Amino acid sequence: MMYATIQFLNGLSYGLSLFLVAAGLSIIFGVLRVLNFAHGTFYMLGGYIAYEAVSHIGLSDGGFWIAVALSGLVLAVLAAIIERLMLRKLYGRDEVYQLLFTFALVLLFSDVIRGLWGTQVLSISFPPELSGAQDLGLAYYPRYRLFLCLVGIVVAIGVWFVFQRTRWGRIIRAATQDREILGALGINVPLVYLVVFSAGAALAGIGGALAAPALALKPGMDTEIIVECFIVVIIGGLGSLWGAFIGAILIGQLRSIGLYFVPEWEIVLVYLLMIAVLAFRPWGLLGKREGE
Amino acid sequence: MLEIKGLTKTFSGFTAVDNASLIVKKGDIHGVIGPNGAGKSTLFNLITGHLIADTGEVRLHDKRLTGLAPHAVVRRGLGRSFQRISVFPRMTVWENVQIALVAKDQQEFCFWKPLVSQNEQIARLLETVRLEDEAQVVAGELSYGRQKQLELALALAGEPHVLLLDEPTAGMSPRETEDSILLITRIVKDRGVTLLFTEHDMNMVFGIANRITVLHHGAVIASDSPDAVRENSSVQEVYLGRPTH
Repeated sequence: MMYATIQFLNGLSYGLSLFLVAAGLSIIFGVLRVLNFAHGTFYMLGGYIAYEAVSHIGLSDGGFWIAVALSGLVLAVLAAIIERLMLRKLYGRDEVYQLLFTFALVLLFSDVIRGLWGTQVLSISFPPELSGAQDLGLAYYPRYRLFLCLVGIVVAIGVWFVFQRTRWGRIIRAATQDREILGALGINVPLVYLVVFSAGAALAGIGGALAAPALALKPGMDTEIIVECFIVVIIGGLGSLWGAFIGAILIGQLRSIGLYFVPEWEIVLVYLLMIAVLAFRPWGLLGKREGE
Repeated sequence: MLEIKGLTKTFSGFTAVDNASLIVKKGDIHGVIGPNGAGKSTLFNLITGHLIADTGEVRLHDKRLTGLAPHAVVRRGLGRSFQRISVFPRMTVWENVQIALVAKDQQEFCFWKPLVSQNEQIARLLETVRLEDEAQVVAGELSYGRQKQLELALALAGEPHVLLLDEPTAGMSPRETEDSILLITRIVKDRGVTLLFTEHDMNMVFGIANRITVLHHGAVIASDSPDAVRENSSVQEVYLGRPTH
């Protein structure tokens, strides 16, 4: 029972941090119709920026939280520059150009990271306020991982609130349906794109910074996470926020169940789920069929 | 009020709009007609900023619109609808109008401002286009004619001075066409909106317009009252001298 609880929480915290990244990927696709290969790279950059910040200002006295906020901020600005100066030129052209462009960003930034931080594995310690374990009655569990669960849930509710209850959310939902009409109503659609791309990147950066104490920073972590994010959105439905949520939770649980029962085959379970979804519901659990 | 001067647009050697000039006066119901491919839609897209003219300019209230982005043109008081259905298909009729109102007050980026209940305004707009009973229906499930009515509500939400309608009755049944003509003319009169529209249904144009511009091969060959246009010899040649469809 204790072991099952821990496995469940492991799956949950992993799934919810995956959600932070997959949500941004999905929203960006929904609005801009650009499949952002570089989203995992934004996540990785977030982790490295947090590492750099922490190595200067330290972990205590809120240093870790400043580092996390800084990661989000740097990624937001970087993404805004990328969108305004480059990506914007590619809307309305063949999708291949956008894919190639975001793939070029992956190569570019992974080399930049290699150059700045080298190829050795780096890590951040847990922030002092969240180190140690919490007694949950059934089991002791690392406080930091519980915190990650909380962040994922708060972000999910926050994004849902924005979508349902604010002007912003209405406009973003409308932009996923028809950008031309939105412009005809007097909305500055290019600005909506800029903000969505930038916010999605900031979310990935924060996700990377928050994941850094729980994982190790190393080259290749960008491709690992982007592949998982693609699986999340394929399962959940591309462009759907709740789809990304359910997809991320499912993958988190599946991986931890796999680790428990068939340790060498855990990743295979994830692929099997993806194949099953593709076979029976190719548009994803909560996605929209083409033309709907 | 809306002044179009010497607009020209060429697409890789093909002149779609050729030195077109026309004036739309306040309160006019101004129809633009012409055979298929005469450049009606291109002309509209040049006015609304969706296309950039090679030469010429568009002025509204004596202020230059040429060179502005589409959303900026809308904010100067020029509402439009497209030839295709232009509503948000997966939102309710109510939410559709709500978006249009958010767009209108130009505070879409004040995300801290809640979606205030503009219930009265929404209800009034829906009443204007006679969709008050369908408020909670998902827009994509409405009949074609009703989607067109909703589209009109969206364009009116911005309280435009000039409304551009591109073939407002295209694809409608005779019954829907008749209803929508009545609706459009009533709204235009009630709200004092100036209307510029394209149409291929001649009966409709001559029935409601007080001013008609005829385009042929992208050039304006007449821009006058319906009677004068009917008598115009070059118009007769275009429409009667050779088949138009």
